[in-house]
Amino acid sequence: MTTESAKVKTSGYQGLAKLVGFARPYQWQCLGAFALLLLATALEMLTPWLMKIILDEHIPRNLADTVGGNQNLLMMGGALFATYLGSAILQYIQSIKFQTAALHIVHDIRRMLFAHVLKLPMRYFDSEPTGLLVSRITNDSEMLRQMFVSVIPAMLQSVFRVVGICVAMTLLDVRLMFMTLLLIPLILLAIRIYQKLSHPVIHGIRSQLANINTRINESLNGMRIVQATGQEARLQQQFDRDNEQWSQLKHKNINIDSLLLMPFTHLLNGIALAVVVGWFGYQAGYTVIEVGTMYAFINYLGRFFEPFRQITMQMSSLQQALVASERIFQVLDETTDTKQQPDSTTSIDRGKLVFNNVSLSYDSKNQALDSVSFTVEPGQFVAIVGHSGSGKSSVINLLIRFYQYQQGEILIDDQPLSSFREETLRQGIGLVFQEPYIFSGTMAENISLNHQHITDEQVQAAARKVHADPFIQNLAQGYQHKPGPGGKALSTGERQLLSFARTIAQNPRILLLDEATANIDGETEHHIKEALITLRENRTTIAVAHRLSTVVDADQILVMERGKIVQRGTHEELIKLEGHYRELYMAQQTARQLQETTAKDDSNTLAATT
Amino acid sequence: MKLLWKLRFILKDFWRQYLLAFACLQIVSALNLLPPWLIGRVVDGVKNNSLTRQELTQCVAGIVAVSVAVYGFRYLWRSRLYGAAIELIRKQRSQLFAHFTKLSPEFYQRHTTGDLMAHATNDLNAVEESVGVGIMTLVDSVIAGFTVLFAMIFLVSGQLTLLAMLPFPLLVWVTNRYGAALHSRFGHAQAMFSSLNEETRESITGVRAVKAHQLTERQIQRFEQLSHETVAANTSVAKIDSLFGPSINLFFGLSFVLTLVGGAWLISRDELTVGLLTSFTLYLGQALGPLLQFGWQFSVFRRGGASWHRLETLLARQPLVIDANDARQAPDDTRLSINIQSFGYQEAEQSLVLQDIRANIPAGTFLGITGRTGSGKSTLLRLIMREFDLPARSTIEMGGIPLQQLTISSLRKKLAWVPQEPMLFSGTIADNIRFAAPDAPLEAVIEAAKMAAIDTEITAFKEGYSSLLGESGINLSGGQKQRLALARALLSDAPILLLDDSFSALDMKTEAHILQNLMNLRRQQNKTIILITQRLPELINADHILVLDHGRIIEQGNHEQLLRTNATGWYAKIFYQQAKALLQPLAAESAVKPTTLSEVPLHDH
Repeated sequence: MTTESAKVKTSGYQGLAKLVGFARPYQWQCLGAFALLLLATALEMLTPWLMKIILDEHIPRNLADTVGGNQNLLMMGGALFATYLGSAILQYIQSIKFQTAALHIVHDIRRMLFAHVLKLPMRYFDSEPTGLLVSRITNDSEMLRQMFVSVIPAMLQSVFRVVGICVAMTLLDVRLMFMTLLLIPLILLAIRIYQKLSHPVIHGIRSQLANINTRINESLNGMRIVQATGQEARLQQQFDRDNEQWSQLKHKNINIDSLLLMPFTHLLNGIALAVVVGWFGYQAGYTVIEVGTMYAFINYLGRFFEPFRQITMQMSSLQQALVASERIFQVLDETTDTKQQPDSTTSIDRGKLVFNNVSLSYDSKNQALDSVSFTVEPGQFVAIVGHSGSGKSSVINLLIRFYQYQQGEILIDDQPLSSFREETLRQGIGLVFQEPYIFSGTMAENISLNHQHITDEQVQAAARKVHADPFIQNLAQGYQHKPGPGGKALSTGERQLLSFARTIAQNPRILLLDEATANIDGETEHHIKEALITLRENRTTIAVAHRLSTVVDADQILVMERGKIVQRGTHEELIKLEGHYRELYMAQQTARQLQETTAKDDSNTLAATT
Repeated sequence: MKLLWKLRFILKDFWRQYLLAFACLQIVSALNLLPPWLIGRVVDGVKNNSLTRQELTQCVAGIVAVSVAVYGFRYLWRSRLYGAAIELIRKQRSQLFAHFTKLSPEFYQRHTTGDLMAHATNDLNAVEESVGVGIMTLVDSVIAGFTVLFAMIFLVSGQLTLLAMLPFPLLVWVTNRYGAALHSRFGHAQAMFSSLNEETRESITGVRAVKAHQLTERQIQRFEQLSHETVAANTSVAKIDSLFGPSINLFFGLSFVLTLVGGAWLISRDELTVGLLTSFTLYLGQALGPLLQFGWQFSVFRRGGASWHRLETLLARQPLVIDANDARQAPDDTRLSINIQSFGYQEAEQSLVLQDIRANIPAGTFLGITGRTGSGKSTLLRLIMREFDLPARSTIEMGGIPLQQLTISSLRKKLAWVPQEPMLFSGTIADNIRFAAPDAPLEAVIEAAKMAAIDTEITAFKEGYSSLLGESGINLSGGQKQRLALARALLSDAPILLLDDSFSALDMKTEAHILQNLMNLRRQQNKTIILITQRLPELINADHILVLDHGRIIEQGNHEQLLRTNATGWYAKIFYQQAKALLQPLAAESAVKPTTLSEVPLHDH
């Protein structure tokens, strides 16, 4: 485990170096902010010095001095206030500068990350859960902002302060300064011991809490079985044991905190104070000691501990930021599709498709497609049926070039698939998803898909063709209506129709149709059936069919099983043969039967098919 | 503050700890007054050249002694106060869990696990923050604040204190203004961030569509636009947020300047010494923390109060199904007689789930229940388990005694339920099978697993029965989970087995094998088996079959009777369909042509 964390650490710091690279465009802004910070800290360090002067020279020793003294005193008071004011203003400006620079750096990182992720090959999205990827782009980069905004300035300021205090102390009393320096190893030691002691405890608390929450979650989910088996008391016992362990660790944590953190620095401060007081008091016996010097020293000493507390506090943020940056760079290091785009301008004209012994494996272990061959003539309608996982969708995935096949060849209009540019390919092939994706934006945008050459009239014409126009017109703002994230406000059927309109507007030569599984009621269902026929007109169509009722009029049905085409033919041909197609058909009939809510007599259809 | 009043009952248990902590806090504050005062004396001594060696030694020793004592007391109050908060939360959490285990299924139908988890985590956290840090800072700012003020006024000078405090009302006013401005800007920035999040999620979940429809550039543009707006929103937050620190420093500096100038004036009039002025400025430094803290805790209390209210409401919920006062142990005679006139989860007439259900189930019966989804099958099992109580004129009796008169725990010991959706717990496979019988030896576990036809698959895992399930462990398929749940039920050794569509994810062969085992078990141990299923071939051997529809029995009898006497009924129709569609592969394999369906060689007789 130690080696692993060590590895994380080194690559984390490499990540840090790379991160700093992102700051380059803003280097002048950052340097300016540094300079301001330096100046603000210097002013801050000046205040005790001014107080020393006031105490030593401007506090009147007796009433006789008051007249001239008063004016000087007020001037000095004004100067003191000026240092506070100047420091405050500089602090404010540098903070704004740092923050805006940080925000822009994070913006740059995000923009780059987002564009990069969208260009990653499909393969990548199979292995990476969506939630994690989103979190990389938004949350992890937010963590980096924290680093730029608070960690770096706080650390810098802490260092500036310690140096400033040491310089001032040297000017006041070199020997005492060296004595103060002795505190540094003590403080660092305390921090070190603290980290060593608290790390396992904090870790333990976290994992114990996770345990507790898992227990609660599981018990809530399985409460019926817990109660049915009468195990309440046993679970309670287990729970209390975890809970007890949690509280013990928490107590331990409190003890470590109290012994080594704030109270400890206060203790050190107190002892150092005693030394300083003793030293000056002792000196007073031999030389003339100015009260102001002593006061200023005490003041500097009081400020000496704060930077260390700051640094300790920022350590955990820094760790988090390092982990986040490492994760971000992991994503950035993924290679995008750098395949050379062919120069050819071949477009898809006729829409003839040929699969010639095509094999595909997603994981180089299991064959998703195993020597699949078929030909679709221009304008033909081919349906692919089979169980889930039989390889139906793989055919679509290959045609739209989401994945690379390993063997065989795919021809479009007798040209190899690889000779088409990605744009031409995705323009010539229209893909209708099983669950159509609705983008944020207006309904019109969802139909035109951002293609400038598609006019509003064409959008509406497309919508009318597939019966999407009536429901769009009924929306509050018609075609300018924004259906919101994921189009959840629209019904399943409406989403389908919208995606059909989208395809009509794009007018592709080849249509890839991943049929919806969801049941849609009544009128919409009827519209969808009609629209599907409209969609197929004059297009080569490959449909992945889930409901066999729609494949009846296909020119060719391919039955797939474990990556192979096991049967092919028309419905009439296939239904007569023993085999997968008939089994599938039967199974579906039964499933439908069981789902039906009214015990309508369907024996006619059954008789007709047996 | 209302929260503290509400919490008095739990705080009551810890009042000694809290009192001790407050006492320590007061001692710390008082002790802290000493070093500045001692320093002031030394300063005066130096200034007037009147400092004796002995006086110096006393002062130095005093500062050291105070520092050490303060260290000790600080440790003490922290461990008392935060310790009390931890204990309080531990107790609450345990109580909450206990409460969860007592609530009836009716409660779990209404509340999602996510909501309840939020109570157990967020709400408890908010309460912990209130009773720990919240109380601490409140008491500390009052105690420490007043103690320091007291010292400033009475040890040094009331006039000077007044002067030094002048800027503070202004500071409070200014920070309040900032706070108000920040609130709305922060809200806007948060909203921007979540829409950025949403946009990202949309593009990533729809990445197939984005690529297929060539929308990559559009999505990147939109993202950039949003990210830009997020930057703008955050910049406007930063403009206010960055004001806090400098403003506090500035006003504090002003207070300092006023103190020095005022102090000098007082010194010139001989009303103050330089040493006392020194002490005063040090006190002023001590007062800063408590003054700034004051007020912060009220928002913590507000949040804690809301959370506590939610927890209270939750804890006030009573379980609907409870033991009667004179409840008896369940009898050894496990025959069941069901006589349900009507039952519904809600009062309303139209939402009746079961009506006119009557059945006698002698011990050792194999009863099948079938019907469409939503016909009330599972509800019947739930009533047998007494997850819900029946209305007045309906009863279910075990050995002639109504279930309401039995203790819940003894009743449920007689029943072993296998749900449709198996619920497994993290832990080993063996622990999961042992769930209802934690002390069962491994041999018994293996025996049960064999009976549930899962033994070979378990032993195929690298760790065998010790394999861990859940997040860090192995994933089981739906069918494996179902068989594990069955093994669990078999191991519990209850005389009545309730199977709620428990084989839906199994293939026909495994299913047949398990049914065979169950039949043997029934013969050997006279177990009652009640099996709900959608697959009618499972019911061929049943002694009696109930076909439910809309909560009523529409057909009943054994398999033969149902096919013969009601050849056009629901059962017969569905059975023929299923037999054709589902039995074909099996029939083909065993090379038997199913001429008449009752001869289908599914089970040996």
